[in-house]
Order: sequence, then structure tokens, then C-alpha cells
Amino acid sequence: MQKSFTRSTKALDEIFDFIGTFFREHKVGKEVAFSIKFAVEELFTNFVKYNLTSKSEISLNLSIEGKNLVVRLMDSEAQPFDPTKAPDPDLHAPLEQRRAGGLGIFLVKRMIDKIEYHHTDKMSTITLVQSLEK
Amino acid sequence: MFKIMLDNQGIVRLQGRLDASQAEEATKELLKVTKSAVVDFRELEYISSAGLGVLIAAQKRLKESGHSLTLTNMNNHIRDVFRYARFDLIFKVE
Repeated sequence: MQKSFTRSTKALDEIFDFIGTFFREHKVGKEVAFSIKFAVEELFTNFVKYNLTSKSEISLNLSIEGKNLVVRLMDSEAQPFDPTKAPDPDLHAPLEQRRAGGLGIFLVKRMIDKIEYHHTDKMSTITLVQSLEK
Repeated sequence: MFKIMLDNQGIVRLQGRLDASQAEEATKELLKVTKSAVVDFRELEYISSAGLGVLIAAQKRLKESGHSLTLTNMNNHIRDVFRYARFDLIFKVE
């Protein structure tokens, strides 16, 4: 199941509806559903944030492959940014120094079983693999 | 769908999904909180890092005047997010 979305956080409602439909059709459990929604939002908003000027849409593909849920997010006009290599935030810093930047990607890495990143010819593809046996 | 409501007992009630598209609205409403307050998560289904950022900003602002937010009634998924982010170090979570 694949769909393309406007490069804006305003597309999030539509994205959650799309994901929700897929989850209902495939009877995906609540824990996996929460993690995937969280990861898709964080990675989608990252694509938006790092290229505000492009008009191209961002594609989202969901599939079941064996015992895994596989999610692919594709941006055809992305700057290279590998989320798997992003530095972790300092979680023990005092409140004054805590910030939300970097936290989203850190949490995605914590929640998702496997994340792969590919970038060729302006096309960034992030693949998430999550076991359905949770 | 997201709602944020402030009642006259100093309780902030969150409802629905606090994602990046709702962060501005949540920030605007939380600016009305000027004293220590309880944030009730009972009807909040989902939060992303954008929502966490809103809460951090509010906690920082309140701390300057000796106040703080206490977070209560989280569902298990949101509680996990707070635990992974070590927000237990910067918020009282009930």
C-alpha cells in the first residue's frame, strides 16, 4: 500500500489515517502501531524540516513481509542525512539544557527493530522493519 | 484530532493526538499556565517529540518562577516514550 503526501506537517492527519487503515486491515497490534506511527511522524517531519523549499511529495509505503511490518519513506529531493548515524541527545542533562532536537530520532532508534538508510541521486529512502510478534 | 483544556482547578487536560501539527496550539494554551499545574494525559492517545518539546519548554519557563508541571494518567505507550527519553528526570510523573 503506497501513497504520496504533501511536504508539510499539515499532512500528518492524512498520514495517520492512511496508516490506521492499513493497521486495521492487517490487524496490527497496538504496541507496533504506536511505534510505527511515532517513527513515521519523526522521519516524515525530518524530511519536511530539511527541505522546506521543494514542492515534491514524500511517499510512504507499508507492507507485510513474513512476520515483519516494513515501512519505506521516500523523498526524491532530499539532502543526505542518515538518521541511523545521528548523535544521541544527552538524556541526563539538567532541564535548562534539555531540548527536543535529536530526541525524535533517538526514540525511533529505541523503538524500531531495524532502520536502513539509502541515498542516491537526491533520493533518500528510509526503511523500517518491525516484528509483528510483539 | 487534538484538544487541550485548562480548567479552573489548575488542571490541563490533553485529548487525542499531540503531534507536530498540533504543537503550536499546545504551546499557545500552555503559555496561559503560570503556576504549578497537573497535566492529565488520561485521554491523550499519542505524543511525538514535537509534543515533548512543548512540555520541555513549558517546564523550563515555569521553573524560572519556582513552579513545575506534574504529569499524570499516561497510557503505557506514552509512559514508555517518557521513560526512554528520561523525562522522569525533569518531570514528576504520577
